[in-house]
Amino acid sequence: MINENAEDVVEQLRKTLELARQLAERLESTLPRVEASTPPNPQLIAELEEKLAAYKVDQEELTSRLVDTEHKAHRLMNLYVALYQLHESLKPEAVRSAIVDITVNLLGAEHFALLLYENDQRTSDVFVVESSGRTALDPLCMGGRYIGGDPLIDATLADGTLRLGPTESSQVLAAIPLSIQEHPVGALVISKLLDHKPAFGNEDRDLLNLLAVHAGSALHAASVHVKPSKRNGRPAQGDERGSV
Amino acid sequence: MKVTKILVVEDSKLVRMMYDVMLQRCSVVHACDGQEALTRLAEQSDFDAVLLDLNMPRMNGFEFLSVIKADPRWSHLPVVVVTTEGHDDFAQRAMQAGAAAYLTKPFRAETVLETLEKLSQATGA
Repeated sequence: MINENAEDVVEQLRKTLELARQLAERLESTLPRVEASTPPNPQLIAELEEKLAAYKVDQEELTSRLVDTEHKAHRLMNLYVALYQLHESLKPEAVRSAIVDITVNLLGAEHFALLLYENDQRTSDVFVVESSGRTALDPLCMGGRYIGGDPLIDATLADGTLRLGPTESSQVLAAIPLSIQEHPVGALVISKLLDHKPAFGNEDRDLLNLLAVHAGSALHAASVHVKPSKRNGRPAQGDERGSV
Repeated sequence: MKVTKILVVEDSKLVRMMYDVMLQRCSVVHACDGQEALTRLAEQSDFDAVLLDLNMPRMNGFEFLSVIKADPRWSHLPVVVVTTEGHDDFAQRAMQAGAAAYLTKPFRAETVLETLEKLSQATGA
């Protein structure tokens, strides 16, 4: 539905742009006839030239607005898809998979790690539950646990604030808090982007914020959903919420 | 020929959903890897283009590209590779294997749409 509304706006802009183009073309075709008419009418010629110039300015502005609107619509699309994937399933492994998918395919991360507090408590151990296999965190991990030592990561785990690097004391590019109602339960750490992506762009900020706000709650919802089913002795049921 | 029916060969659920949303004016058929994509091609013969990931289980993108370009039933299909692999040697390899275009992820929807539009024009829309 979001994309349909955005598409309507883009379509309206396209039609308006096409109308402006047709008007400019008509003026352009009319101008030579007026210039060739006898007796010559300099005032009319000047008016037509002025109108033509104005239409061309309008065209450029509309083209720019069309490009900008299309771009915004596509950015919204990325956010919509990311949010949908995070909350589509109540299976913990599916939510983790969605976080990895967003991190790789939307943010362009090559090296990353998903850290979670063992018991949602900041005094508990921090486990590496997902990673790209090889990260800058490896020296700070032991037995599948993050033992601390990177100032950027440690600060984000402590206070739940999104931080971007690198800094003087950390090579990490982003420490994205995973929080439940502002209570940090972990962090997504990105230590390297794909080679063809030099840095995070302005568009990535929306995705980073989306992950900071929603990834933690999606993981928590999945873990809560699993626990009651296990207590009852029944395996967790399939719980996909429907498809696009 | 305007691109109206597209085979998406992609193991990422998120990326498949992105294609569904951005290509609403087209008919989109999905496959999670090269093997499944070959099955789809055998079932439905009227695709106009393929959007192909490279890193997939069972049969990766290069293997799939090699198979379809060697098969007269499908060798005509324009294939747009869309991948996280950004190195030039991957792009060269894909183009030499018969890909029509090579795009990297993360991608802008506009880039994919413009590429498909150029394919339409190239094949005489």
